[in-house]
Amino acid sequence: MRRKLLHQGLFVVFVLLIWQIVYKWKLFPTLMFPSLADIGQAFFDGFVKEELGQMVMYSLSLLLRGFIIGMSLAFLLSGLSIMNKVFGDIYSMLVSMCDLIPGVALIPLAILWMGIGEETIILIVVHSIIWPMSRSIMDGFSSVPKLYKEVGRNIGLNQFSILLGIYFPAAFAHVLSGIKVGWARAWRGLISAEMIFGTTSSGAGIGWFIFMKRTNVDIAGVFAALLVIVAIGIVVEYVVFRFVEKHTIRKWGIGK
Amino acid sequence: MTGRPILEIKNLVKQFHDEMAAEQGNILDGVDFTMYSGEFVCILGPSGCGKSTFLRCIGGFESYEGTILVNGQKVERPGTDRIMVFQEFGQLLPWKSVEKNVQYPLKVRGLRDKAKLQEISDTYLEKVDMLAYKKFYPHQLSGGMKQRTAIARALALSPEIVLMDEPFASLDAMSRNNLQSELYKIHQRENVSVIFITHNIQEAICLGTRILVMSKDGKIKMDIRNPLVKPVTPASPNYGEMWDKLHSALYEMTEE
Ligand SMILES: Nc1ncnc2c1ncn2[C@@H]1O[C@H](COP(=O)(O)OP(=O)(O)OP(=O)(O)O)[C@@H](O)[C@H]1O
Ligand SMILES: [Mg+2]
Repeated sequence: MRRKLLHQGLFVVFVLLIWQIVYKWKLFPTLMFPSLADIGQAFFDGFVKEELGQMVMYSLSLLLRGFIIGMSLAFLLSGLSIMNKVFGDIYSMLVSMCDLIPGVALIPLAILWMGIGEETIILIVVHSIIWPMSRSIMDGFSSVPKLYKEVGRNIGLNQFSILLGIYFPAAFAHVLSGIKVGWARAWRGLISAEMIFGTTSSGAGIGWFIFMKRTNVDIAGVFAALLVIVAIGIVVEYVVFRFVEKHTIRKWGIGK
Repeated sequence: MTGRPILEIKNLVKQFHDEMAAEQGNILDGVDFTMYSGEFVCILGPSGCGKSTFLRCIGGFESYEGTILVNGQKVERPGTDRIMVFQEFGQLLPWKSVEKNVQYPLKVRGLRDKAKLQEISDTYLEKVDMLAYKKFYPHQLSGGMKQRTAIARALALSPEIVLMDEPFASLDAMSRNNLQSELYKIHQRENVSVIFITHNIQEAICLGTRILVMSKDGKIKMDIRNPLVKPVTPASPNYGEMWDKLHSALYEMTEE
């Protein structure tokens, strides 16, 4: 574990070094290839002088709302597909079809139908996560050992409680990987939507920040925003997901 | 101490409806069997003769033809009046610690009192010599320890009938002896009826108040009371006679 962190850390330092060398040798125009110091400055300015902090919070709030709605729907619908065969057959077909449509491709339609409000962005986020999550959850549900289900029925769980008491924990490794995929997809869906929408009536997010910086040819600013996205992703991956894994599937000795 | 008929089976026929079914024919072929409350029935029979299938039908895990009545009620699904200890090791829920595995069915049944739950799980884990491991998770246990926990879980529910499928097969001679006497004590004290599958003639004689021998063609070949006074040891009067009788019944079959 230590070792791994060391290797990863060294690699990052190495990349930064190369970056700075490329900058120093002026291999690319400075306008397109800012120095680390410029990016750092843009990062700092973004939070202190501009509204990057607020924008990040706004994006996160959209993301979280979409994520919770999408996740709940994925659980609900996947659960229903276990309980009802006909619904299950139809839903799994629906998942296969809808999962193919990138969120960005839906944006023109969504704008036409719903306008450019917050709800539309949330809808795109929901779309980006509900299908991959449903897929993972249903994969997980269908790989639950028969023995657990029999034990569940034997101790008196009914159709609904067996879902929460047996299927859900037994499929947790799949559920978790579904959440990870969903999280990454949701981020992408969100940023794309924000870049295309610009500001909504209630606020602007990171996507908009990037778009503005590009328009102003402030490449350091663009990188600063990318840095924010990566940083949040890393925190979620290494802190939140690791924590959940440690207290669930690793503790239980189950994995995929 | 034996009383009213608790389990009545008439002309039980079981066939698996898959591609192999035609080849296999009837796994259970017209089984008649009545069990009285308080009996300890041991079932012997060659491997593959349908012992587990018989138990699973009583447990309500399989469809069947004929009648199975428990207290006059037709068996259509599993229920907490018939708790099964499966032949497989993987029957504990991996996401629950040993003690939670024992407590969970009681919670499902509606027992909410934490102290009471703790008391019951401690009592039964003690009986199967698993108290020291109550905080362990199933993946940290050996096969025999898992089976012992599963037995505690079944007994803690105080079902009317406990269905046990070779529960002691994976244990060393000493823990096997201990568990046999514990099980017999519990059976005596709580007047629980037990159906117990084993490959071990001695075990059948030591535990059973009644012993069945099943044959390869899915019938009950022999159904005898076991008059030997408990606790039975190989030195008990008539032990040798009983052993010979069962052995030849089993042996004849493998000859055929
Ligand atoms: N799910 C199933 N589908 C098809 N055939 C099955 C199924 N389960 C069991 N069988 C068949 O039923 C027969 C009896 O199996 P069963 O498990 O009841 O035997 P058993 O007496 O318990 O054997 P053992 O002592 O080895 O545990 C076997 O021939 C087996 O192939
Ligand atoms: Mg068997």
